Amino acid sequence: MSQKILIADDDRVFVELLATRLHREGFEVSVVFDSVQAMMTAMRLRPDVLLLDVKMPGGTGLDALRKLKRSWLTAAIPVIVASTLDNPELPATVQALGAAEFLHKPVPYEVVKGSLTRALGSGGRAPV
Amino acid sequence: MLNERLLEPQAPAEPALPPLRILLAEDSRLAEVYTVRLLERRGCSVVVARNGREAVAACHRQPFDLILMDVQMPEMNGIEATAAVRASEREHGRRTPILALTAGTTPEENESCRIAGMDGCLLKPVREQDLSAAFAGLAPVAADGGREESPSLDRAALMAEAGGDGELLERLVAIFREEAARLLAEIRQAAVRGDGTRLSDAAHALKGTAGHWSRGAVFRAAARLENRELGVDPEAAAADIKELQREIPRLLLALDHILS
Repeated sequence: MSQKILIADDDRVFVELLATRLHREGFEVSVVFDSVQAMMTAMRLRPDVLLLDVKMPGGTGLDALRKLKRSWLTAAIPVIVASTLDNPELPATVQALGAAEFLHKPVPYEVVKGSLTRALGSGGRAPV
Repeated sequence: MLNERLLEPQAPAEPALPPLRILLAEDSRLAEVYTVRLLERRGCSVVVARNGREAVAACHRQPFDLILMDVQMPEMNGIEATAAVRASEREHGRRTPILALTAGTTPEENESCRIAGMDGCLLKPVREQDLSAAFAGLAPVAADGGREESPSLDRAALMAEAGGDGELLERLVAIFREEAARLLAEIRQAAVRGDGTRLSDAAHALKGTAGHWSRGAVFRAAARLENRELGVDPEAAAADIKELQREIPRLLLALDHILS
């Protein structure tokens, strides 16, 4: 069964690029464009990994990350946070909230794929 | 080939252009002395590397405006070194112009230089007029004496990023065209209404989506605008918006050129 990747990002160029290329490489890719949908879809779909933007419509990705990590249903989903924000404290903040990795966008496809692959290989979720 | 770092707006109080920082990778001592003298006479600051490995290491230590790369060098030749520099640059979103230095090229060698990511070739010994032509290509001087930027995009890198899929690249450009227009309209509306949060959010989104293509004028203006306090400095915000209005069409034109 192919692994499920959920992408939550309002940058449509980035999302189209990732979704097309990841799908071609055999992943099952779902896409949402705002923070509320990110949370709801993550709970419903329980993806193998979530790629999460920070600054999105409907609230920040950090709120979504916090809530996902607090819920027993989604706590074990590895989350990679990707943002163009230049805040130097952001990597440490997202790590403290439980993210697997932080990517500073713009970032090439191969780097994103590398992070996703690492997260998928890290054991994924704990049994529920 | 334009270098974006060269083209940062000059401070008005400092009209003189900074000296070009040049990396010369050359293993022949004679050629080195001769070329360094030529470059220094033109006010360039020159760092010399003796082989490809030293050249790659020098690029990791500091940025350059231009690299002159001998093709035949011991340890690591110029073609291998160029490929290594380009690979590392891709991670940092930078692209330094690299010109090959050769004693005469075969079509095969030319092709290898091009594939490795070199932008052109200078025959050795380098002549004064060849350097002038190379520098003119680096940073065209506008009529007012300033440097004028036109978006310079790396077609091969963008195509590689799209996985070699021309249709995907076209689709991405079409999405960017729509998004850039939508976000610019949003920025203008937010500015008119004095809505700093909305302006900053739209500028942030524009910065992100423009960054896929280049970290040139659109990316930089959007980044500045993202951090402006609209209530504190509305003139600066207006100048950034004006720059976006001018530069977005130019970036789109450059993207069209890449697709054609």
